[in-house]
Amino acid sequence: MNDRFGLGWRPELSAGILTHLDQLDVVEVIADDYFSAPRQKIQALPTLATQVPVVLHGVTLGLASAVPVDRKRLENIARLVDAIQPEFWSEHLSFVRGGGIEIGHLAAPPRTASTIEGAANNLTAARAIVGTLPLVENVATLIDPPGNQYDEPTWIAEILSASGCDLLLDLHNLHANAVNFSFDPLAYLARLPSERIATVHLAGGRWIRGQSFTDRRLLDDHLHDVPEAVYELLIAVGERTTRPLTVILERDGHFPPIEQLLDQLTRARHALQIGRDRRAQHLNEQAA
Amino acid sequence: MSAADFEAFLARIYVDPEARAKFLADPRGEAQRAGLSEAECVALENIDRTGLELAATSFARKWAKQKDNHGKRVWLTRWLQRLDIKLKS
Repeated sequence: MNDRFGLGWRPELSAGILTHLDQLDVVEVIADDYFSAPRQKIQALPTLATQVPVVLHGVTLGLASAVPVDRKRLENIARLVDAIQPEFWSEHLSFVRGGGIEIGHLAAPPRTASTIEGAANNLTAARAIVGTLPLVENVATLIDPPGNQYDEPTWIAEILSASGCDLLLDLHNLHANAVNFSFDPLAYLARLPSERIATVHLAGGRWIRGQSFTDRRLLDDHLHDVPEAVYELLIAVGERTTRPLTVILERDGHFPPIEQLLDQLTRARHALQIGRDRRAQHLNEQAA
Repeated sequence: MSAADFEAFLARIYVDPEARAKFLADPRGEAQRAGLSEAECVALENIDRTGLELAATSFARKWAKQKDNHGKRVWLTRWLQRLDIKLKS
């Protein structure tokens, strides 16, 4: 099985990535970093894509919303997709604005029939303008969105079904939501349509406290190493999925030496292989 | 009222400290004054207050970081432009 492992492209990591391309199968570029970039900076991306497969990741579309997605932002994605020809592009199941107010980051929308319908409509618009459907990603949230009608795996499965999209499963987002809102991440995984999982994100985070000493939540900050619990979830993903996966490690700051990130990718390769081996063993036992 | 109005209400209390303080002092009253449905008012009455506090802080930090990065980009662009002029002259 040709699982692939790669890193998120960040300017601070570019030298390390370029000197270790032999250890990377894929690089993920943040689309929004290039929306208003000079032409030379954008022209560097097709050059990068000749050296390593590139995928594109958006962060500001706000697809999971009852509000129609901003056409201009979709056109920005379309221009980049046209210039880079990435293997695929992806976005989050989040809302990022409301009533003319920009939230400034990914917010988890209320999990309702309205946001399922809104996401499906926005994804149809995305396909019409960009030319292809994105993979859609589960988001981490510090607040349990008010007004939920569905639990998260049901809501995601409904959007995948309504839109025809595949899933970019962020395992640190899943881990953070599981510890913040006290649910079993393995039961969550079991309820996702495993055949739709195409890509996996890995990252780290830290605990933050509220006003009360006992109130704490895990923040998905992409500034820390991948915790053990996320590798355990990757093993479980390997047990459940049959298609080749693309696994991307995201790091947005507090950059360690590149070797430390490559070591985490090695751990990820090992974890996914453990899951693959377990699945093969189960199948052999069933066949025997 | 629509789902879009509910999202707009959430966006406001996530990013506007004054609106958030008024909301936390009287969640049902603020939701009713915004014209939200009874179900939405109940949902907001039972809002995850710890989560709201932490999410609002996190969003504010993200905004501050974005503004800081934008400022650095503008400064760098102007510095490069000045350098270019000096090299050409």
